[in-house]
Amino acid sequence: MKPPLPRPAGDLLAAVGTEAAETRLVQSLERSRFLAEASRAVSGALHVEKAIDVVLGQLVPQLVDWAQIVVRDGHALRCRARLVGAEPAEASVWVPSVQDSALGRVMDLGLAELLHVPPHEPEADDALAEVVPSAGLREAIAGIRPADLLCVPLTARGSTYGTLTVARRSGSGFDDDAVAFIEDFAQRMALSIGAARAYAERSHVARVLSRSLAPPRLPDIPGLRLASSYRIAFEHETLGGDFYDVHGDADDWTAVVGDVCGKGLEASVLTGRARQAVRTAALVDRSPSRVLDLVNRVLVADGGDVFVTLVVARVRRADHGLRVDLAGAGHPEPYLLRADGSIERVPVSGTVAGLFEDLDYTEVSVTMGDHDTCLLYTDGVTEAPGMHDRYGDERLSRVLSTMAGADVSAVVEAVALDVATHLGDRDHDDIALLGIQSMRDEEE
Amino acid sequence: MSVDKALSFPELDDFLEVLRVGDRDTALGLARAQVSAGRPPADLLVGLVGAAQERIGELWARDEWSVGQEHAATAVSDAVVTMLGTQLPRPPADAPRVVVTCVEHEWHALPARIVAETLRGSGYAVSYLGASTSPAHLTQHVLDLAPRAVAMSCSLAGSLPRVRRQVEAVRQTGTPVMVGGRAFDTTGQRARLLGANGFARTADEAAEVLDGLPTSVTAAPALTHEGATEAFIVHAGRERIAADVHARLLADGIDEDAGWVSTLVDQLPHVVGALAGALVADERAVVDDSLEWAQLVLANRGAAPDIAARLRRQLAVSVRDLPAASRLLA
Repeated sequence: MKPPLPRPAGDLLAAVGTEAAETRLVQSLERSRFLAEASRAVSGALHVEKAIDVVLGQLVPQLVDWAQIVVRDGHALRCRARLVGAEPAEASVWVPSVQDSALGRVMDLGLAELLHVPPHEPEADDALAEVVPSAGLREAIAGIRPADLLCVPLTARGSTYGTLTVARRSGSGFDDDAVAFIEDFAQRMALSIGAARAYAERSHVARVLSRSLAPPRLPDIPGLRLASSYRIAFEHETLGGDFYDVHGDADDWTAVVGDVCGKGLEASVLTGRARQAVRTAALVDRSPSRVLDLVNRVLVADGGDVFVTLVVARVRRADHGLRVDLAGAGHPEPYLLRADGSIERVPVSGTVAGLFEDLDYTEVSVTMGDHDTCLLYTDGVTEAPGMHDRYGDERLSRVLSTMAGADVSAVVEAVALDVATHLGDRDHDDIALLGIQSMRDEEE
Repeated sequence: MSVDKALSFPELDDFLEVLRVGDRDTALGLARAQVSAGRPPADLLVGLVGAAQERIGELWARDEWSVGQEHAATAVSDAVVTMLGTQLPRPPADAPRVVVTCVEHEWHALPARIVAETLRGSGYAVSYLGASTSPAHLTQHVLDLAPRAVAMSCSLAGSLPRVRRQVEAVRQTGTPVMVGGRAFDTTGQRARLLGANGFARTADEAAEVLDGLPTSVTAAPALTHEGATEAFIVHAGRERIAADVHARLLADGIDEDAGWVSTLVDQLPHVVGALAGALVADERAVVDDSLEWAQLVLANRGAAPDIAARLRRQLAVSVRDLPAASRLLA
């Protein structure tokens, strides 16, 4: 595919006389190919460090023998350099330390500078220090005895946030044509690295938010075991509209599984409110019907335009197992899988929370013996679409019946796996499962 | 991850028996005793837990274990992996980061967990993403964490097309990908063809392979072999093809009410998936192995010894419009 080259491939910076028209054409073809490849390589790297590494990897050794990218990060300058035949090396310096140097000028003015390096020490080292502020990184570049150092600005969205410096081995420098080419290259790369910087800022904000809304770690509670599974509707998001939570103290615990109206980010913000409302309500009174009553009142008072379905379970130790009181608000009835393999539904009924004032929630009590499992879940389980039909209660009962007496994490895993198999690649709603298992013996 | 037989422990049989009854506390006790006796936790991860997991697959195939027992055993093994993980040295604060994940729709996360813990023990900071991670979700993590590399586990041959998609997505970010798991051959040929930058045959090889990966990589080269396009056609249509093959087998005279037919229905999507895997990996053995496995599983549940051959024939009819697929099944 490539045309024959009149000189060794990749000598993109070689000076070409005006008379050699064909040679010039070949070189400019090679250069555009290089620019296109570099742009493609860096465009997917939305992380600053990765993007910098990709750019350095494109430059060394294809174009130059050494390259350094310096990027401002608050009061620090992060320097990353790559010497031919070596891995990238890194260093940080403070912004004020480059104030009176060529590097500082390139940053301030946004204009390229070409420095000629004198052949002898200590003048040579002084010249290097102008654009390579880190003494550690200077050592590597000093070894190749460059004739020139070219420092060009990295500018995006109107501000120069860093520099690219390049050098070639002894004897080779940069003529005007080479300088123009590298400036062109740097302009393109600056946009990609700049996009990565912008992305990093945004994703930091998103991460902090999502950490506060993500499903919690389940606590260790003597006398019972917990397991959960959570799968969100939009596979590219990390937050969904289903939620679960377990909180309490010594021997009085509240477990909740719920589903807010809507999907995605807006829904998950609402799950944060619902979870918090349950936590606050449980501090006042752990009775599930009272908890639901309070959650309903909070949501109605907040505007009454959003609704939540949920099941609240109060879990306490009892003789030979657990006593669990449950109340529901428009949510699927939990399953009770006995250690002997029998299956019961816990008949919790009640209106969804958040829409109507003055609702009365009623409680149902069950007792659980050793290795009995109570499974709370959202309708994403039973509504999961298959090739022909929804997952449904029948399949759920069937898979539960094969798991009698098994560890609660195995029970939850088996259901999650069966639902996933049923789903295949089809779009689905958020899916949450929370299993509570009674254990006769204290653990470890 | 496949396990070298020589690495497995003499206590494996005891451990398997404890797993069979789903006895978490005894399993933990057994593993702890091994640690106390001076066995390196990293060896136990691979030689005890990993080896047991592999044996369980065979026991299920021979119909000696139920699916329920398999789930229960996995839950216990998972607890043992967690315990052994706490026995490993913590990675240093400046440890290089690696993202460990399962390919999308891979729900058997235990092999990836073993790799994650082994890598932690070898001095890597590990971000473990768990079972089934979508390309978009994985890319998001890679962009957020800028790991040294991604390590991806794939057990099912039918997931090889997904591996390819995932490798493409990760390499676009400039990050190298290492793959491993039962879906790959021991020479690493499939891994190379799919564009992975590294291949680890076992969990204990993973750290060494990671060390040797380049810091940044370019996009995966395009797949140019004949079956590459068909692979994604079969993959996308696997449910429909499986249903069609099922109908054809019934028309061909298999007894709808036979006990093993429900297992056949479960296995069909895997066989069709393996055809897609064979196409994307450009290797006939992928689908041959899958049929051989189906034969073992179904014969142990009462099917005739020619069931896999009949399955192959009907599958060939079902995909007769696809030339590369037809050649693989011929």
